[in-house]
Amino acid sequence: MEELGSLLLVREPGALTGMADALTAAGYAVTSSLLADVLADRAGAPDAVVLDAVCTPAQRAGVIEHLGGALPVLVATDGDPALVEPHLSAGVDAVLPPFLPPLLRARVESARELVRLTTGSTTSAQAAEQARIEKELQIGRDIQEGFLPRTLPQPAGWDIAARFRPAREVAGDFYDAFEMVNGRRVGFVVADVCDKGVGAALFMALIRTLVRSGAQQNVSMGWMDEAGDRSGRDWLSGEASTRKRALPSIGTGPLLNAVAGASKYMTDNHLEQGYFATMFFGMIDPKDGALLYVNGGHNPPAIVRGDGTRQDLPPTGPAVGMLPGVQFRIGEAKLERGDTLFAYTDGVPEAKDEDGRFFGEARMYALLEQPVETSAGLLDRVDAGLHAFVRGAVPFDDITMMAVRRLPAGET
Amino acid sequence: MPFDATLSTEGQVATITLTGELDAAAAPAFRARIEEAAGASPERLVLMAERLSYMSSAGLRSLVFAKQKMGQAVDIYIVAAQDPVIETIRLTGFDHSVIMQEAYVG
Repeated sequence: MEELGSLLLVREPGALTGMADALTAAGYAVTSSLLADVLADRAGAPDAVVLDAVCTPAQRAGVIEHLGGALPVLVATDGDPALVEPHLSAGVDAVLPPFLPPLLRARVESARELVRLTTGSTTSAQAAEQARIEKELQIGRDIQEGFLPRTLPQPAGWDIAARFRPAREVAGDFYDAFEMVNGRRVGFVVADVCDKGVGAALFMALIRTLVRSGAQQNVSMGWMDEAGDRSGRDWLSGEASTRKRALPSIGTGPLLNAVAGASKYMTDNHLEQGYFATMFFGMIDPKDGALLYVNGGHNPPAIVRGDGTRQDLPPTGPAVGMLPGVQFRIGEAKLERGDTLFAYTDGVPEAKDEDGRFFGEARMYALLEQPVETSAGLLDRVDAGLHAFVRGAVPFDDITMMAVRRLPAGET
Repeated sequence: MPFDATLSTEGQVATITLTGELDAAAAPAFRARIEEAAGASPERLVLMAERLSYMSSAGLRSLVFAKQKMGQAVDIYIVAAQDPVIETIRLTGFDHSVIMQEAYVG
């Protein structure tokens, strides 16, 4: 007789005599256990179970659970045929004497087929649910991509490039670049909404919109009075010599409005959710390379000078949306011809290799300090350095980078 | 090192001792401890951070959450934090919302 698999027979003492032999003759490798002992047995799951119908449906379920669940099961009795009724009504097949091997075989195999079909359909239901979730996330990702600029402005004499690689389907990072003040300035933003996943992605969409909309409104500086800063000078930080300027430069209103406005909106409306974004918002005058910026708690971007030296642009205020009633200052710097500003999110220095070591700022800076040919080339170089470092490690954080390069004299 | 956060409460002071890396994966466990600590309505939350080697923005979000949860009247102390953790807190300006100490002085 061919071997059809293992079968566990569970019965009361003295009951189902001849069943074990009949099942063996039907082609199964039979082990027997007493109903009283089966829950103490630690044997592996058999391919099928035949249970003495004297057990209650609850006991039957307990035995199947103990054996690992989702097993083909039949009940049988050579006593009162009424014993099988509660099992039948629970959808479990039953056999009564005479226990003929071909009959037993047909019934056991049909029970196995039933389990194959039902567990198979569970799996396909799970697969369908999984596919649905993935489809929703893909939609989320597509929509989120719509919150990133399709093209970056490229004012004459400048070269701007960006990289964006989310660790998951949706990201908390974003970047943006757009003209401001009727094309007289170019603004660019690199930001990182804290935390990950769908929550961060929703706040990314909100904060990006608030910042973009704030930056492109024509605003007066009047609202700043409300923020309690009447000194007229504190808004400008940086070198003492540059602070002497009494009048705000073009675009400072929209710049502050964008960042402080977004922060205020977040703390007024969403403080309880605890989301915030670190953000660097720079604004260049394409004509002379003057840079005004607000750094809201963000990893300091670096200006890489044509001679390889570096100037970091530290925070001028806290993370956007983290604390109510905060002030942001405007920082000042200048991009000379041949200088490149590199802005990034913490996914770059905090990228990990397979052993959990961080990429770190030192490696990143070393890559920045080599000569820069183009913005895209610089980003490719950092990207390649990251790839070589993390090797097979699963990316855990979003990675966003932007390079804003003022072309050397003679290049256009 | 795997993240761990243990809570002990003595009088009006809730102390959470942090170990390992507080990243997005670990943040829910930290938040559960904060919820637990908030349940005791302490006057002060002390985070012992000597063995906390790293904190991501998600970890920082948990701290912001702690500040919201506890209310402005509850002072949060961050004690003996390592440089990378201090750097993360300072960068975002959250150091103005908490009390950073090298050793706990109550």
